[in-house]
Amino acid sequence: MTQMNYEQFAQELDAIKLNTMAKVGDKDAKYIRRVIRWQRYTGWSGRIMLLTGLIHPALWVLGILLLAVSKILDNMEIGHNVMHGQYDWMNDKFINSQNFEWDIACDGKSWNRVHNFEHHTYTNVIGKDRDFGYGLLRLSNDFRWKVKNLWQFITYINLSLLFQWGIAYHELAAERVFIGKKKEGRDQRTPHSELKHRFFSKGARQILKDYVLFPLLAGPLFLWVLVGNLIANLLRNLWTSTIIFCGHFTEHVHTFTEASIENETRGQWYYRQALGSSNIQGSKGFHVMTGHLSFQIEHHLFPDLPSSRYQEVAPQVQAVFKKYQLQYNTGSFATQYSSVLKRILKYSLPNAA
Amino acid sequence: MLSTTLNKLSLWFLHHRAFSGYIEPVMQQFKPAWRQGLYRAQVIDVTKTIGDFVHITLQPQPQWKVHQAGQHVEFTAELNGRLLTRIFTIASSPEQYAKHKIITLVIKCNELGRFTPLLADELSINSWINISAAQGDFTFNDSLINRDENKAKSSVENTTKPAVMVAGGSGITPMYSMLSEHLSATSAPVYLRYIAPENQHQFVESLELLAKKHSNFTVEFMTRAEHAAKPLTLSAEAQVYCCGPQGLMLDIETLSKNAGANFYQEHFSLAPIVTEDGVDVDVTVTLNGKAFTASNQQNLLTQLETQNAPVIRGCGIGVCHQCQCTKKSGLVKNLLTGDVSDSGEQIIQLCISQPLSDLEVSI
Ligand code: FES
Repeated sequence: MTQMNYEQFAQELDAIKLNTMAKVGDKDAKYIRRVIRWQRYTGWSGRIMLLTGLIHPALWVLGILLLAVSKILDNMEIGHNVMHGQYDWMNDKFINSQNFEWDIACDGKSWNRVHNFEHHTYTNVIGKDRDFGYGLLRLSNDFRWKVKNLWQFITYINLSLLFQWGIAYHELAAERVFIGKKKEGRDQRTPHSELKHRFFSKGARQILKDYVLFPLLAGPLFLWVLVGNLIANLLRNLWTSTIIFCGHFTEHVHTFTEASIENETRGQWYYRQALGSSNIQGSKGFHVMTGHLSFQIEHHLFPDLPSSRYQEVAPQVQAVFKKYQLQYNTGSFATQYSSVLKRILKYSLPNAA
Repeated sequence: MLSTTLNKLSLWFLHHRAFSGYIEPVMQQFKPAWRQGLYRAQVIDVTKTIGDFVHITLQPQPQWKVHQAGQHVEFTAELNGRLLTRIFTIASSPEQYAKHKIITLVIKCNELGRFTPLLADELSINSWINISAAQGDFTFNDSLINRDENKAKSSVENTTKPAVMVAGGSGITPMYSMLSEHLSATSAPVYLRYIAPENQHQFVESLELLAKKHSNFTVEFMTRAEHAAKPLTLSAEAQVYCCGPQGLMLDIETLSKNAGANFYQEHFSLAPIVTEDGVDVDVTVTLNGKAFTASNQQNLLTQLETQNAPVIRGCGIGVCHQCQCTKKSGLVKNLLTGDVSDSGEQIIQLCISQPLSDLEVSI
């Protein structure tokens, strides 16, 4: 591996990105607006159908599913990708990384800073990428084993169910660290009080909206709507956390040490992204529902390439990987997810082989 | 009141600062180019003329309020998925809008930049674009016009004050609009000097027609050399209007000052002055209203950092978007792709942007 020609590797990947970026235009703008429309339609119809539970409970269930789909589209294909700056070139007043805010407890501005900077720059570098295990799970031998790791599978289930709150808290805490580290005398853009304010105001508004406002608007159907919203949010949490875990915590995903990334070249950075992520195979619709995080490898190589292009670049990336004999970590949803569960269980025990 | 409440609710629960922004992609299905805060206008005609100019005739939606002669609009069009915005003066008169509900923009296509060269080819007839409300205060001085309502009290002195107009290149557009609108209402002498390269003058026929119709109006078409050879002479009571390249406006301003004449100019600069690549030149970067100096040879982030500007550094290699800010005007080159931006508003990453002209940015 050490003899790998990183420079050439980087050039080939850069070429894929430049060629694809040159094609980005009308088609991609239409695509993201179409997804936004579907997000609106599913959301509106879902909320209305929650009110029809008295006619037939199946309609209520359908309403929940539609609302969950709407929330997933908002968080994954729209929010995550727009906030990565993938659609900034459109110059749209609302569809851009500076202004977009998503329908989730986590404040977009905090997430944007921490996720884009920490997670994408220091992907899977132990001690730097705090997304690796979210400080809750032991997912490699790089971490010292603690007794609490014995029941980390249950911790994982809880984290999945409450994923939006976990992320909200996690990003806030990370931002504190991130900002605390900033040089003295510099304009510290986000004071702690404001971070706290953001966490609570965004979180409170989310609770107010789904568990007070909409149920109240439903009048006598208060409970139908409240429970419906709760289930929709849970479904969204489970889905997003599952997909995200499949992207980084499958068995063969590598980790890196801080020392190994000193003076890292662009080629080495690409290499680390390549081995730190895993893909999931599936249909077109499945990819949209995962926000194209099923192309986690491509996303990590080219975080600001519009998601509408990941399916197109994947075979090209795979060919380059083959040439350099790198493992292109991909598999069906079942394979990847069972691989994640295995990893969580494996590292529950001290010094797993 | 209703819309303020709606927007508050939208901000709290729909995460959009304007409700109309939240429903925008849906509305656009029914009304093409429907955009929050902007008016829609339909393209009626696009004509290329000599000297790389394009005349665009638009029919704004009925809610659009008529402009005053000399005012401009922000013009936004979606070209290959990108929304591009530029300021253009309305060349047609308010009277024409009142009669036919159309306005005309006259645009100089400059080869640099992504926008204007594409306009003529990409704007199809009947397609929809956006315009802002008319804005700007470069308008004909009221005292020159014999408006019906102030005819009684209009002093002889005012109405006989001569007007001198100097237009350079596409700076003719506000003048043309003012002349078409106001010539019939003034008896004072009006002189227009229109400077442009040989064979690139616009509206020649119409201007000559105006001169024939109004004995108090004279027009001279000149090249820059001819203008230099025949300096303007100004009297103290002249009302001087100027629109054109920065240099020309400065010259005429000094000239007016020396003569003691009133000077009016159009402020928005026509096209940024682009520095030559490979030659180290300092440009001015205005960040949140504060001016910094930067070389056109290096990335903006490092240069602003060393001057203690409130910028944020993340990865420094164009990945993390921490250094991102909004460029209001000016040209930058993307160091990763080599792409040269156009001069309108867009989001840029400071660490991979090299300034090519004076810039205005905000964080
Ligand atoms: S500092 Fe990371 S993109 Fe500019």
